[in-house]
Amino acid sequence: MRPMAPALCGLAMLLAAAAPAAAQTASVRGFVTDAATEQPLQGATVLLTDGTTRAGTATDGDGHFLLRRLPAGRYVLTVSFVGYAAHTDTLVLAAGAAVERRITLAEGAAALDEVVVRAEGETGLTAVAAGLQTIAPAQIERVPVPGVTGDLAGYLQTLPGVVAQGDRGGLFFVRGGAVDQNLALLDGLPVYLPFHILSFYSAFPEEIIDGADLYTGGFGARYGGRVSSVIDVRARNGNKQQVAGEVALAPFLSTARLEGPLVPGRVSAIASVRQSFVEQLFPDLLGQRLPYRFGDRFGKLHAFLSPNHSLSVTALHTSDRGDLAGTRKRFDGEDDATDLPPPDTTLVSWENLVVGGRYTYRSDRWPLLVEAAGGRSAMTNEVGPEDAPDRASEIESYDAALDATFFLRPAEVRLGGRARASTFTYALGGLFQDVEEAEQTLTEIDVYAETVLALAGERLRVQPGLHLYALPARGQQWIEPRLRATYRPAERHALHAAAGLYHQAVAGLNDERDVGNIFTAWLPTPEDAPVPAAAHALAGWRWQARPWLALAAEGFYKTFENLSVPLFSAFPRFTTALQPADGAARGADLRAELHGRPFFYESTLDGYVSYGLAEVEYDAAQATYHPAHDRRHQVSALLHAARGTLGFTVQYQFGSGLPFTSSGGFDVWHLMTPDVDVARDPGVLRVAYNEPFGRRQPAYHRLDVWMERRIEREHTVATLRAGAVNVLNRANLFYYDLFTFQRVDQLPLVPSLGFKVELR
Amino acid sequence: MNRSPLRARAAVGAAALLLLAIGAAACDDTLIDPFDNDGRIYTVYGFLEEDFEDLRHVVRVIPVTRIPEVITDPADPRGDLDAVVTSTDLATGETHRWTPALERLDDGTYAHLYRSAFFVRRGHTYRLEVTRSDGRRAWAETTVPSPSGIEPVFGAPVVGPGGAITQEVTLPRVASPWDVTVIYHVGGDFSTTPMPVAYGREGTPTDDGGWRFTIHVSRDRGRLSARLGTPVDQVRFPAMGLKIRLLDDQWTPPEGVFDPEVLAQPGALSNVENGYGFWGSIGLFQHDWQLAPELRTLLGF
Repeated sequence: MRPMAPALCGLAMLLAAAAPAAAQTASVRGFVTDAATEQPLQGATVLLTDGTTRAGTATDGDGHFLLRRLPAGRYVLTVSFVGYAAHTDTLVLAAGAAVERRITLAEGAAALDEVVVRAEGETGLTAVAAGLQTIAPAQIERVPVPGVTGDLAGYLQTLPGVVAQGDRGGLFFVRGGAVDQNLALLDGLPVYLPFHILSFYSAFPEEIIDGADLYTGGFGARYGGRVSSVIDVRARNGNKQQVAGEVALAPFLSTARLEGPLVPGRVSAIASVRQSFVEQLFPDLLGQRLPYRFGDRFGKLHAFLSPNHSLSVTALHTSDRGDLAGTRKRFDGEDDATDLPPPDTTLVSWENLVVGGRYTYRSDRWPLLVEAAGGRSAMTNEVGPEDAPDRASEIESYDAALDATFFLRPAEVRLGGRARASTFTYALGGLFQDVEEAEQTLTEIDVYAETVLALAGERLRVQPGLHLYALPARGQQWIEPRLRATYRPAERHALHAAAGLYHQAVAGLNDERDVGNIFTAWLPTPEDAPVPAAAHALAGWRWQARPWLALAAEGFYKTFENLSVPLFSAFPRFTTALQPADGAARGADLRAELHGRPFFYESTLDGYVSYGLAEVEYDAAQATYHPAHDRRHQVSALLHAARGTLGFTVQYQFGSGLPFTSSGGFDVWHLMTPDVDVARDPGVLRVAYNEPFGRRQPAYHRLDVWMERRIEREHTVATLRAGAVNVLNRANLFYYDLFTFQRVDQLPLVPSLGFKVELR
Repeated sequence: MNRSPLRARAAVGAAALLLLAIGAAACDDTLIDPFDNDGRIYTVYGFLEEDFEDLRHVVRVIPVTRIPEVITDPADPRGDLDAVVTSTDLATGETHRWTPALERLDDGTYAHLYRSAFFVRRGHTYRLEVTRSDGRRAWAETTVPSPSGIEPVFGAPVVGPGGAITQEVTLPRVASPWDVTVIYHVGGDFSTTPMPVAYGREGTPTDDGGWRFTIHVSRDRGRLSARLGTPVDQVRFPAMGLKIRLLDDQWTPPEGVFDPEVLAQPGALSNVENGYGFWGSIGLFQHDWQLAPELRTLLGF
């Protein structure tokens, strides 16, 4: 057992650094919300100036801000947020005064060059802050997916460093990390399989997202238990003033959302239902089978119990079922083979059920915010026929968390902890040798302390922290130092960096030898084996070159230890042993973002171009190789032209070929000893695999085109969107099934038409 | 239309992006051949064994195919394999053409077997060639182990607890025998019947590259008694012998373990050029001796 002293010492240092200073200063606190919906606006910039003194911050997830230690005087308060008209106010602060403001922002144009104070919550493709990408709903909406809404999954695929293995299967890899190394949270509770079977869609409807933070690495001390990335989604509270809603009809995914006040101004509810009808409506679209059925149901209640107390309850259920080999061709790519029955191994299904609550207390007397949360997350994942799956994996976990934030100056201090008790049940049908069928439990404890120090006149923000990750039943714990920092040497430039150590006691075993096999078996890592660990280091730069143009670059390096990867056995698939491996991921991203650039005839252009260069390498006992998600080059570009109510979007994605293991052919293998009688013993059918992942698939190209028309009335907004995915009808390879001798392509040219009506 | 140069550049840039995407996607090939076979056409399994009583040899030839070949009907046209198998003694030039046959295996499927019969000479190198009609061939070579000049070293008989009699034997220059059989020549001094007792791979390597194991004389005598149906004290063997099978030098798995997970790798334990599989050879060491008087005394005959 490692000593606790360093952790306690570090905690003491953090608190000491945050010690409050002298009293005769004033403070300003408040909330920033959307004027129409009263939704809190996270990441809004709050700036206070008096000619010489400047103080600034960004609102948190509840739209809250606090500026302390302000000398008495007259100030100009400016609150701005992308997509909203800025709010300006004049404040006269007396010594010792504590001024509170509730600020509402109305939608409208905002000049980006006015924004000079940015916290980590700033949004935009180029607004990376050491691996953190804060995602606002407006950004998600800008990246169309089949249907008439955007989706978080579609947006994530535009980010450099995020690799989707295909347009189905819902497997995402973030900067070299494996699928099971991503932590997905909804209102603080884990969602184990956060993407739908068609990878355009996540489990989180765009309409219910208040904001999301994607940490592609280097995440801070408040997160733990995963070694690669975090996607932290915050769900909206319902509208507390009026009933609102929408209905969107589209074959891929239709949506209904309803929200409104239960007690006006105090209690709200929001519910959303999404369901795909593509399987029923278009079983044979343009000659391609689309056997996918998926959907999700979401609900949230939020109540202000008093001005300082709030309570919310969130529930999410997702369901997916389909045949991954829905589009199959023969080897030469010419003859469709849609009449072939699907092999059981490509029939997959999964469900998530997340229910949780969150209580928030904001002290009047102290600069303190306390949050208590808890809930249940469950996941079932199966392969095979619906009534008799060949393999299944289930998780049921219970979370309890307590977080406290002290809004001090120049430091903000956050302390917290989480306990998670999980039960893993799995029946793997021989997928992994030595891991057959069992029920196991695991209790994880996370305790963290971190502070955010604003130094050098707010130009330098340093976020050191310590995370304690413990497995009490095993008597194991690890202290993980974390550090994040942002430095703004000039008004339009920002430099950032992050580093940290991470451990993970939950493993998702996936047979990565076979891309078509997306089944992931979740289970605790063996007690007698070291747990997977990682170290991250990131550094980057951002430049707001013009009011409408931002540029960013970021490099990263991750190391992984104690991974379990399949042994490259030449036996026919679905049976393999595991072997230990270490790994490393390294790379760099370049991004350019165009925002609100005036164009022809009062039209505007928005868009981005990003390029990611990365390399992932695993060093296993058997071989050193580049795993299936090692995408070296990735380009994503989007151009959106809008004029009035008309919009036109072109999106292009390129990805260099992913590695795969080629085959030398089929033969029969004998365990060749002198006792073998080859004249009687049939031997074992064998695939003569070549070097693991020694070859690469053809590159991936996809061009999507969308047109959109909005018709706005006083209380309704109707949107009609038409377009197509993969308009070049390029046969992007998903995987090649060596056993059925068929290639499975990603989605072909698929037209989509959707219609949405919003009530506001 | 008031078209500024900047806007014109933006339009040109957008158009260029589209053209780049279309061009890149159009020019790049989407076809892929997931099979990457650098001329490996056959998989071969079998071995030569130096056996004075059985001169027959067999190899199995499996064509490397894109689709698994499973023959369940002897009339299946795939049963006629386009392959000629020959073996050559590289020391003498003696060549044999092996006879093909489609034979039924234990699971009911059929396999391409090739048979031949000839003396296997220890110390000689043999080359097996499997040739397709287009001239492409796979081949393997093996050198039959030559366990000559090995003189076993016998320890003194030991009487252990309960009267169990054992005797330790050390085989110099036998690093790792495949298996050991102890032969008891049961009968009188003038007429005996050899009766084998398998010892498998019992034993341990010695520091100087030999092999040491223990003969459990009284235990084996009990087993022979049961096998013969005679009382133990009537089982007499004036002579004993050893029969040890030795694998050729190539027949060594990684770390000395015949682990299926490891050996199933196409390149593991494979000596077939232009193909997969393994073709090896087994050498035979035999040694007989008269029982030492002290051992006979301990055994009571």
